[in-house]
Amino acid sequence: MTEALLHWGLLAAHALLAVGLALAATRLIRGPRAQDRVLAFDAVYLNAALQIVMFGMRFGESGYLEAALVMTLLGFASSSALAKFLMRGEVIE
Amino acid sequence: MTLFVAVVVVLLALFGASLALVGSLGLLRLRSFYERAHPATLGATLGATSILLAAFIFFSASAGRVLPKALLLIVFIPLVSPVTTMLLARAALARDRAKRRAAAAGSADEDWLREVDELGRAQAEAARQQAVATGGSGGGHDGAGHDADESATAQGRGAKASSPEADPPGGGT
Repeated sequence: MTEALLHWGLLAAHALLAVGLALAATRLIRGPRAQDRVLAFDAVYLNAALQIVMFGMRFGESGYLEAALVMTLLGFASSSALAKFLMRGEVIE
Repeated sequence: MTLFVAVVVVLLALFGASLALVGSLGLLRLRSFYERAHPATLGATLGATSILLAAFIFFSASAGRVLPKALLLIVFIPLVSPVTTMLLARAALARDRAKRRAAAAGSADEDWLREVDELGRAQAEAARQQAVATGGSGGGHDGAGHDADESATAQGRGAKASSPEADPPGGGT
């Protein structure tokens, strides 16, 4: 009972996250301007990190949390670098 | 793991995942960038917090002791995601203001100006058409069979050699 509930519930949550990633990726492809694409890129990164957490919960491995932490750090660094690039035209000045 | 803990974990995970889905749906459906900046933070703050709270409860209950790794992510993700959104909104505001200024100054043939919103594009189009209309008064755009660059070369030839053959197609048709 508990196993089945955890299995199907976490699978449903994972599917919802996958649909959300697909929608954000659609905005990433279609986005009319550069800032729309950067915003959608940030959302894609966050959805992927949450999916990694969900993988860890489904497989019972807590090591996936570190992977999600590294991915969040990289997403923050790349998104702020892209925002700085949109503002100034160059990243390192 | 007891049934109660599993129910709490699954409910938190489903709530967070559906919040992330709603945020991505709003990112896809809303019209302008400044509206789209709002739903992207929905999944980033409450959705991520509830999913990571579910992970914290799950791993702590399955290990039998408190694992603080998920708490690190709970602190980190809602802290840095609004920072990114604020940086991006400020960059978008600066870009929009620069484009408005460039469109008002009349430098309408910049390449990055053509991807503006509808107002800036309409302004650039009007400025370009006005430039064509004032520049090519003789062999202008009333020739039905001529496209834009052909009339432009006719203008150039007409300006250079006082237009003996640029005038008849404009007057004939």
